[in-house]
Amino acid sequence: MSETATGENILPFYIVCDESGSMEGIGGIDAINSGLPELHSTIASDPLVSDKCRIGLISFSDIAEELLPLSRATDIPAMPGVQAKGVTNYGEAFTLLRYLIDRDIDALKSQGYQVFRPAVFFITDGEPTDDQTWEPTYRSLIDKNSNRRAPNVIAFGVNGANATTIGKIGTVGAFIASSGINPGNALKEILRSLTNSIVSSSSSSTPQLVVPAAPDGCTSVPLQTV
Amino acid sequence: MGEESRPDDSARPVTTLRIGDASSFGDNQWWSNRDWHQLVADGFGADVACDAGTVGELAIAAISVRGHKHRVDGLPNEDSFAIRVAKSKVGEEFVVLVLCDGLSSATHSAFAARRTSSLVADMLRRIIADDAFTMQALSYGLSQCLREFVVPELTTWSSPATALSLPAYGVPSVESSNVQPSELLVTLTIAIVPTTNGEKGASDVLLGTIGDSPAYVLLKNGDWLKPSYGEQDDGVLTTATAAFPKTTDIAVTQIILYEGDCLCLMSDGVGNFIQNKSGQLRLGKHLAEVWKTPRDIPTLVRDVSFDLRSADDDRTVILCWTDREAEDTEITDETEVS
Amino acid sequence: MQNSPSSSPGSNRNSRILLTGAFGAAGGLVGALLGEIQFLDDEYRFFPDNIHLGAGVWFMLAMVGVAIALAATESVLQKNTEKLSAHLPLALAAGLGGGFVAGIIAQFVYGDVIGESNPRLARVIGWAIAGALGGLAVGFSFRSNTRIRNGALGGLGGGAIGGILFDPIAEAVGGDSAVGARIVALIAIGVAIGLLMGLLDAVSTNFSIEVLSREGAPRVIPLFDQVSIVGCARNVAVTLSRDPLIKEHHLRLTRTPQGLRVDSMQGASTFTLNGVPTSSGTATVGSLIVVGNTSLRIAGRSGGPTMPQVAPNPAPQQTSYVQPQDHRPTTAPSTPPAARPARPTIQMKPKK
Repeated sequence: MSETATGENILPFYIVCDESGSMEGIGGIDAINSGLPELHSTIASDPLVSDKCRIGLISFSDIAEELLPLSRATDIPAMPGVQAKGVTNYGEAFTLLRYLIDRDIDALKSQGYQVFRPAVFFITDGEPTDDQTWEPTYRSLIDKNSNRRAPNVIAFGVNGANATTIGKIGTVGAFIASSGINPGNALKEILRSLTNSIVSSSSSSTPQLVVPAAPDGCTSVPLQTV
Repeated sequence: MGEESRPDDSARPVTTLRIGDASSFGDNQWWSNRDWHQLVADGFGADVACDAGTVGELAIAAISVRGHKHRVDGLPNEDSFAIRVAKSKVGEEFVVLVLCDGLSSATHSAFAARRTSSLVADMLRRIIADDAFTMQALSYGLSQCLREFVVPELTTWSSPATALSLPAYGVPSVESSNVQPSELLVTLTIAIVPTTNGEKGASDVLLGTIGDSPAYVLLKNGDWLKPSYGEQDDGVLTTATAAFPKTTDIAVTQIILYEGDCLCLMSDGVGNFIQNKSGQLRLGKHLAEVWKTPRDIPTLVRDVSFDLRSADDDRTVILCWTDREAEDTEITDETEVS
Repeated sequence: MQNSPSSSPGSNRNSRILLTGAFGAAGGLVGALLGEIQFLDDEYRFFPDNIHLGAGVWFMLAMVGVAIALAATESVLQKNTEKLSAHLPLALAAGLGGGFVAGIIAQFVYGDVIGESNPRLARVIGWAIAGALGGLAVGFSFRSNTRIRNGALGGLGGGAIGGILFDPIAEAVGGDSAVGARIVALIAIGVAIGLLMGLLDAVSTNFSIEVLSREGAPRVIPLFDQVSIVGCARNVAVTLSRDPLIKEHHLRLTRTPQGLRVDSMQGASTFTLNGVPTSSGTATVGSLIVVGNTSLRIAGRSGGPTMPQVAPNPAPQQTSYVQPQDHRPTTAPSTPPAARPARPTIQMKPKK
């Protein structure tokens, strides 16, 4: 017997995290792995947010991996952490994102949910090593004309990330850590900032992405077209 | 001498109407130390507000329930409704139904919803009692009436001399001159319904709306009919993102209500879960079944207090049944709707 | 934050091999002592007039010790004594039957086929056959086709090695009585069989299951077969007997090119795969499964992922997923792609 849809509202959030080898040296891996439980705890303990949002975690270096499929916070007892690996291929992340967003929205809609436009938080500590090839993949992800499920993207850069590149990746917000700020600490602030964004976005009666203010130690970067 | 008889308290507590999986609030007792159901410090919380009664051939029930979002934050219900009975000069009797839903982004929207619904209902009653009243004239002039009569009353108030002289509406404690219209934004939905069914059991009903609080007609066959609204006299179609008093251009339409139909004004806290592009949603399907005929008031409150994940907004409905001769129905304990 | 790191899969694998070898040694000792029952003044106690049957009895007693000891390794490795009652009876029966047959065949080869012309070769062949049948018995007790194969091959190889060492050991031990030589040699045979079986088991697994526990390091259970069952029954590949929410046959794990397909079995409750409640899905190395009150993590054989890492769930019908582009950077990645440790698992804080 097929059930009638409930029409429950879902806001999907994807956290896309660089786990290239350079993240180890700046304390980025530890910062992310220690920040994720805080993020989870904040979201899971807020009944308004946990019922409405879904969180997924993607890591990328040479290749992209889905560490945590889109899940309700209260259903997550544990998740794989990030682990420093190879280079920084942005294209792999965007390719996987495109695939996962389609897969997840199809799955949610087939279960009767009303799905709002996904939000992506993109975190990186360096320039892309596939600098000749990532842009077309990115464009196909965010172009609303060709991809009606194009996500809103907020990009964060620390350490060796380039402000211009970060500005190209963010579609509604982009931030870069100020020079002289410890990258590990900047990453912790970034995680807090995106937690606030998730909470604010989900708490609103009409769900919509709330772009956070610049995290402590970061400045806002002008958005640019790719 | 026999023992004193005690009231029968053997009935079980009211069970929740659950739609789908239980929400985080589903099993939470309002008094629990999680503090997910906080009192409103400044009053006017309106956790549950209800008006019900009969007039003419109609049975009317209005229920408003404070949403989880406001309960968690200790903020008041930002929905409000007003019901008036009006008589025209030629003796026709109408019921005026007004529903307002304050926008979350507006600082004083709870006050604005209470004040606007009351002002609009009173204004419509006066207009109906006027010599020149006709439904058609009203539909053309409604925007102007809102602009000229309601907006000034809404946006000005006397500052209280002392705390004890606060008016009953819980007016903001700041000077009205310091409050922008953007802080008083509400949606507005009105309906003017004759209290007696016309020829062949049909009545002309005037509907008007600013914003996204939908009006539905629940037909006898269980379908939810959403009336469409025509252009304004200035040729601009009101969009769902509009809000009063930022805009006073109200979209109006006239529909025919047949005996057995139920007119339903709703705030989006309920309306969003009735149906979508794909068809009826689970709540809509259930309410279509149980709201065909009037129900007792506690059960109606339970209906509007449904538990559904992500449904955390205030919920308000005004139901207008045109056929009061309901069959005796057995009250069933529906706890979960599959 | 609490991490629950397990010891590295590499060291788990090595300790498993060594433990199997140690149990083989213990089994060889037990088998040798049992086998001495058959000897009475350097003649067979039972069937003294029939050398083939007498040899059968001796091989049977010797192999029973090895078979029971090796069958017990699994319950020790899984820290589940209830599995002993599932494995031992079968190992005992199969060891008795297989050992008896092996002894007859070995005596036939030794006495009638090769004879005195090459006793060492005869002994090697004899012990190889005995080891094969004994290993077969061990694998049979696990009800696993893969382990039957590994047991037979490991037993064959280990028996052959033991057979090669038999005479040198006997000469080294020396003395007037052959008892000491038999005991040492059988211990060597048991060790060889155990080590070889352990090695074959280790290389024939792509996946293991780590049963996570609050009390300490997780239990690691290799998955040997194409299909493995998780449940509270004692005779399944992954026995979870302490969780009252788990049925006897609860999950079916099937190896696929994409990873490990996980399905709820009929009548069993659903599970969560990486946090998502489901009744079926595909897991890869690092995936977390929660069934009942028990958390399971999928581990690889060598510590590095062996399956593609993207999209653990089956691809949808639409072809919107673009394969990774061919023109990857040709410069070597900054970290050599050597075997990497498994990802950390981050435990979430309990909900307030």
